[in-house]
This record gives sequence, structure tokens and C-alpha cells, in this order.
Amino acid sequence: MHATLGDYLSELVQNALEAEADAVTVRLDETDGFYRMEVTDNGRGMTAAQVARVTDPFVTAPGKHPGRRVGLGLAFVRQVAEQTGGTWTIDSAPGAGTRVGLTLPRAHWDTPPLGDLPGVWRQLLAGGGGAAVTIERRRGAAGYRVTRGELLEALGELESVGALRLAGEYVRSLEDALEAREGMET
Amino acid sequence: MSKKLTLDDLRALRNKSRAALEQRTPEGKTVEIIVGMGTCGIAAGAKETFDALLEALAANQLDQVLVKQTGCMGLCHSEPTVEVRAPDMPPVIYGHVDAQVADRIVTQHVMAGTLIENHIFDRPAGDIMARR
Repeated sequence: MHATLGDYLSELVQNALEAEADAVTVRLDETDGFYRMEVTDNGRGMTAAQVARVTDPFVTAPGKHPGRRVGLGLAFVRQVAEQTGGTWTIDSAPGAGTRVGLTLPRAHWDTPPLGDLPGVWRQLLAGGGGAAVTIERRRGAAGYRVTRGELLEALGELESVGALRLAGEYVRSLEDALEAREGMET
Repeated sequence: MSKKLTLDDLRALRNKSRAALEQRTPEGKTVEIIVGMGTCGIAAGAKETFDALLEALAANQLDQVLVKQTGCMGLCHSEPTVEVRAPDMPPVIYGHVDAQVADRIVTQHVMAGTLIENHIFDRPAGDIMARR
């Protein structure tokens, strides 16, 4: 089971990459008492029959794990939605990519914490197997957007410890500014 | 709270540390550390492992080391898994890598060139290590 909402987002991005997406957008909106998360990719997508079985923990994409029949990622997503009174959605079509949405009530006892979001953003932006990852974060009226492309342009690469450290400082400053702004508004 | 950085700030910081970022071992080789980030790895705490590796590498000023991510390595029972590729050493996959083991990977494997017993899931042949 995943411990934080960052883990769920990492999970969904990993699914997108394994579906050969070259563009992935992660949205996290924190308003009106809900966490609204969405991961959209332009990967190979799924048929309706495949979508119908995505939360079966004994089904996984062909070739993803040779010799294995376990696929727990979206089963975890459904489980956390059901146990918190949240909702989840999936839209997918072959060749058109996939969009997974997850909305959870912030106040529910079983809703996982956000976790170390700047650390998650750094990890997703630096990984991605070369995919163009975009993070869109909103909290009330404020928000920020950061892309792998702009970090690559600024830093030259995103694999050395030095570059990862600077990328981490950058996204942490964006998140800190968001928190500070909310503090001023409340 | 630190000030909000802009992309221009980031470029300036990059230029300031460019020498360190471009540094490589004398032979032009560098160390690669690859962290498994599949469902199994995430559930087992791979994010904390990834962060701990970066922290240990930065603390030891090993800015030239590359830290990459991959999906499931097929060793779900031993997640989080970490593969280390170092010059003149065979690739090694470590399992059950928590923050403490991550720190040992940096100080023992990367810095001292010695393996970490009880965490190796793809142990290189003894004769290969003997040739080092």
C-alpha cells in the first residue's frame, strides 16, 4: 500500500511511462476540502475491455512483467478512493492515451498525507525516461507550473547529484511560496 | 523560508557550480546509481531511498554521480532495489535498501569500492571481484 499521495502520483506516472507516453501531465489541486489529482498521458492507451479490468490486482499489461500476473497500481487507487469516500475515474482509448483522476476528501481519517511534494516533483521531473513531464499545482487561487523541459534548459541535465539538488531547491521554493501565500490569505 | 527561485536563478546557480557538475573521474568515467521506482518499489519506500542517496552523495560532495530511475527490476520481494554501476566494478543490485543502506552504498560501494553484504541480489562472480 502506498503511504502518501505523492506515492499514488508516482505510481500513475510510472504507469504512463510503461505505456510509452512521451508527454505526461500531473495536476494536483487542493481546494474546497478535496485533493483533486489527475495524471494524463499520450501513451498507447487501452481498449474498453482492458479498462474494465485495470483494478483487478491479478491483471497487468502484457509484457510489463514477464511471467507475472500482478498489477497493483490502479487497485491501490480504487482502494484509497473507496475507503475515504472519494472518487476515481479513468478515460483511455488505444492510441489516444489515458487520463486517471482521483479526488479524495482532505479531512477523512484514511486519506493519506501529501508527503514530501517537492521531493516527489523532483523525482518525477528528473525521471520520466525522457518524457515531457509537466507538473501543475494549485491551492485555492494560487498555483505554479513546472516542466521537465524548462529544468533541462536551465540545468543542462537532470541526472547528476548537483543538477538534482538544484532542481529540488527550485521546486521546493515554488511549494514554499504557495504555502506562504496561503498563510497570508487566511 | 528561502526566497522563491526563478528559472534565471536556477541558470545562475547552475553556472556557479558548472565545474562541479562537469567533473568526472580521471578516466572520464562516472558512477551510475539506478533506483527501482515500480509499484513494488514505491510501496516499499523507494522515494525515501532516492532522497537518502541524494543526501548522502551531496554530503560527500559526489556531485558527479548520476542517479537514475527505472521501473520494476523483477525483484519485488526485495524492494527498494538499487543498482550501482561503478568504473572497474561489475554492476551490482542491492535489495531492501532503506535510508541507512543507501548511506552505506555511497560510503562503502561508491567511495571505498567494497560490497555491502546481506543486501546483494545480483552478486558478481568472485573471480570478477578478485581481479579488481
